[in-house]
Amino acid sequence: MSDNLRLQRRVDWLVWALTLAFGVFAMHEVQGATPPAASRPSAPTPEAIHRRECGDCHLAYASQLLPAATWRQIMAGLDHHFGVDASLDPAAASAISSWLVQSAASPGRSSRESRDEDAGASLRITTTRWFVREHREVPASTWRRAAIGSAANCAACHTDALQGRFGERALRIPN
Amino acid sequence: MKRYFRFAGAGATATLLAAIVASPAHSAAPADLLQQWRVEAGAVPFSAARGRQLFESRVIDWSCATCHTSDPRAGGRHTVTRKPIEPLAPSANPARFTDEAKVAKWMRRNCKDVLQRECTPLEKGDVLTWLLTLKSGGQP
Repeated sequence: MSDNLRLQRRVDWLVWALTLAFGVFAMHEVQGATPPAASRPSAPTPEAIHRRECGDCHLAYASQLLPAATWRQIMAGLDHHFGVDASLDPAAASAISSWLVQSAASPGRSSRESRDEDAGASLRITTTRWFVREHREVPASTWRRAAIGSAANCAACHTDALQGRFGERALRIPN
Repeated sequence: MKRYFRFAGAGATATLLAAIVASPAHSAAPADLLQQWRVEAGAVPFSAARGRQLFESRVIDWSCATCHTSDPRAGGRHTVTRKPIEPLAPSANPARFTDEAKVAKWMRRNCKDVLQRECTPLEKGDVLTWLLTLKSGGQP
């Protein structure tokens, strides 16, 4: 075997070894760094951004629970969000805001929210008339139970709340 | 033929390299974040003791521990909404401190909630240094 051929073979081996090494490294990176493909759409929808960003501290409340004007007010004050800094990067905030406003409760969709809008109601879902009415049978002592603790903790009793369902069938009030 | 294989190998290597460089995931390890804050913080070395103290300190009503508890290897609860919070210590929750954007977002928000201002790189480094000393099963 000539020296030339030997050198060439060595270069070949080196190139293939490097390729393999990078291949293994790349596979490792991809598996370690990203969630499964099903939950990783190439461009997340505004709804997905809403669920991700708003759902960190509380249930990502359905847009239909408040009128558009209220959502606008909430999204304009995220750095003082009910006493907590919930500020977002501008791109996420704007995507969420447009989506909430677009799919908010509208006067045509439901009379109860439009009345609240007319009355300039507070920003809290829990002080809207329909919320108060729907929960009028729940005594104050129940709200204070350790497993509930807050009216914001929908999922404590509404076991399907994460799926956006609040029907009585899935209602389980913890002791 | 040999030449062909050699070029194919080099081509594959280049493609893989490009894929890695262009990868959108900003994955990081806690050590990368420490290194970054180390550069920003200057000469003072990070201190786990200071980190622990900061974690427990309160300026107005909340400390970090109010929601994360005094043992961040355990889960906590959001003090307002009562939503469960996953453990913060990497030994108990390896996903923590691996996403740079997420860390920046929560450090900004939570420091403002607790201290009424953003944390300095030294404070962030102190806290993470302390969190990294917490091994599963031991005492905080």
